[in-house]
Amino acid sequence: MDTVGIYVDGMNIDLGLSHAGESGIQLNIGSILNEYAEQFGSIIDRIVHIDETYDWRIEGTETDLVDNGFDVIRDERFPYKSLTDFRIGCQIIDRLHAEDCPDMFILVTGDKDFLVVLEYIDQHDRRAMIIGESNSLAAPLLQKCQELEFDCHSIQLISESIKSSGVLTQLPTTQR
Amino acid sequence: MSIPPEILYKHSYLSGHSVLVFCQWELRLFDDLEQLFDGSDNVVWQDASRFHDPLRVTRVRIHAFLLSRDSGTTPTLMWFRDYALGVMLREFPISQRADAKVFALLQNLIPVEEPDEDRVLLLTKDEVMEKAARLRNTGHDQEAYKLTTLPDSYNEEAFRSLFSQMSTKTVNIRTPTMYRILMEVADTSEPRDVILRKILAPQIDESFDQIRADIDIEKARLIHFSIDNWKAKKKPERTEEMDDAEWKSHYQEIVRDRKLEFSRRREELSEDFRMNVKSYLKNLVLLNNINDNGGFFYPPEIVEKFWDLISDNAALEVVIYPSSEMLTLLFYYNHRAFELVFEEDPDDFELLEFLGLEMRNRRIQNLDISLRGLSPKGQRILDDILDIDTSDVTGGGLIPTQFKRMHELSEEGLGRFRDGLYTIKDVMVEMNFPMVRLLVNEDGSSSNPPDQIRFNRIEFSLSLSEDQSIFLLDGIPIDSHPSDDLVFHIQKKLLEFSRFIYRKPWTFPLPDPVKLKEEIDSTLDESTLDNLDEDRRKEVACKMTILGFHNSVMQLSRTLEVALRRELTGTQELTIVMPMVLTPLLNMQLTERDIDEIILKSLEEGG
Repeated sequence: MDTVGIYVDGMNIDLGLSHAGESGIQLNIGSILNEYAEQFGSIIDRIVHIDETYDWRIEGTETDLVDNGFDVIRDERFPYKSLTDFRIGCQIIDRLHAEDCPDMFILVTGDKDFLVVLEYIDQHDRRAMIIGESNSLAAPLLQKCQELEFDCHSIQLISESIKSSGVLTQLPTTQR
Repeated sequence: MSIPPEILYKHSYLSGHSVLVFCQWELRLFDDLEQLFDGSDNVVWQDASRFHDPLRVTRVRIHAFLLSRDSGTTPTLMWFRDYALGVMLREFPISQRADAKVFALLQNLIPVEEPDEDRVLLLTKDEVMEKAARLRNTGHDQEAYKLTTLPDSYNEEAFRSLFSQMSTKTVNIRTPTMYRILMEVADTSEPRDVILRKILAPQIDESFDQIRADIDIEKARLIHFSIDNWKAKKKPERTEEMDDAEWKSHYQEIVRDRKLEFSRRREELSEDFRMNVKSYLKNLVLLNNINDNGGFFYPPEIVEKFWDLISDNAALEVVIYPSSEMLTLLFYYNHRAFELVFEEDPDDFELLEFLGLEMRNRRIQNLDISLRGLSPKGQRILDDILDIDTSDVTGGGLIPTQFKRMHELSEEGLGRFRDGLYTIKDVMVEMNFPMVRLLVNEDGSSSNPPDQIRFNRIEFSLSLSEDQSIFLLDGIPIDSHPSDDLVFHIQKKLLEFSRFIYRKPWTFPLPDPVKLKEEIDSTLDESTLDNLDEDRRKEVACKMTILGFHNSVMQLSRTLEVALRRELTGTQELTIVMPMVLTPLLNMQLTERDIDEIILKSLEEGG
């Protein structure tokens, strides 16, 4: 069976969802990601990176992530400079060289800085997928996905699709 | 729509209506058609496949023919009527296979490519199996097998995977249209992306309305959700929770969207452009090489040799600010740095001497040369020779080194300077031209250059014509035709620009170039340059320098006119991020209408 790793750029996705008014998704993001990723294989990594000083926009987001098996890692931050992107990138590079390297990498972010990581994953003959917030997905990241024939999905549309298929029917309605 | 005689017609009388006849694209669909007659008066069946453009799905024309019972008689056209219908989309060109796939999944159909016909057909599962059976019967087993596996890839799961996918759509819009969008950005402070979604969402809605009847309710609901989600993007507002860094990243998007910048790499610039920029700058340096005695600080041929040696520094960067209706054009970089290695050729040393002396003396106004030795020894020698004859320079207070070095060399000092230079084999040269630190005024005082003068950029006012189809550059219309008005206007600007760089702006030479040429020609008709006495020779040489400068201004004006016209009548690429499932719906509208028209009309109507 294929294996899957989920790596979440916590601030990027949380801030994007917050600006879009998607509190329902913020409170269930762990469940949504698990539900979606399970169709691709057995999930062996569930990691979220945020700055050490970051406050989730809605209380309950971190609880949901932890309850769904995610490790929430708080990275050291320097004035005016977050290092979470680098940490995620380096972590993925480490995993690519590990014996139990996942077959598929799911990056939950919309930040174009990760297009370099996608190239690296492709060079190591692994599959990748981007899941981002609809309105903050960077065009260069999408274009890189198209070039490498990786999928790029919207977390809002994933959530709606899951609801539509009858699963997770207890999701609160989104607030706009 | 012409009807080939071999097409089978069916006629049927429906109460209260004339004969209704359907033109069919395949005979076997005739039977399916029968099933659609359920006795209601207004049943119509639509077929987009025989239309010239398969994606023209807004209307269909139904022809009614009276069929004679005698075979071979041409049917008589009785009546035709246009219907605006929801359409079942069944055929696409192969180039639109991505759109075909989406419509297949929406309509519970399967896309089958027919490369020989350059088309993709959307078929039901039964139709696919029938086609596979026909292929098997004609010995095409492999193709038949591939067909039978296709339906497995076009199921509910495939739709859900497609539904959440995002993609990019790239369109080319005319530069004036982009300008109009950015004016809207400036007026509303909404990012460009938000404005575009507001403009394009109704187009997608229109396409969706046309196909809604042909897709199942849940899929229609999901598409509706996707459209709503896409058009819901709002302009960023600062909230209490946002820290400065977070707000800055949003605000930067708005600030970036307020201007339009495009540039051309050096390799993309034409040979003419590069040559004419180089010639203009060389001639400006040569002009500043004329001294107060009607001669030259340095032999002009040496200055020319130096300029020909360095690579051109032509560039093309255009920045448009719709909110302030300004365009700035940068056409060169004033900084160059390069290594020079000197052989034993005496000409090389002549060049090195010019560079060394100019670095020391700074005779040519606004030309900034600095040399650095490429080895510690070379650098020491340079420092030593640059300080020759400066120890005696006195004055009240501290005098900066560069001002001491401007002190003229004595004859002995010049000799030692040359000897020192000849021991340096290679140097790094840095050149800035123009480097206008101070403007020299007629009374001998200096002042700072005006803020609005930036010495590698020219500025214009920029606005749109009344119909918003073309630009007006300082009031001059810019369309695809060459404009002498614009050439002369640019020439005036270049001369004004050059005047500030000239060593004595109040004496900037503005002769009539035609008369000047006549004077030079008439002098040279009498005698060659070498046979003239020194004073006459210098006079003619100066006039030739001035004429050369004005010719280079004219050439560059023409070149810049071509460049500006090309950029302002060209197109800009716009990339839109949108759900993959909505892209074909947008494409449906874009095959019928020009995107520039859609955008301009929407902005005119208030977005």
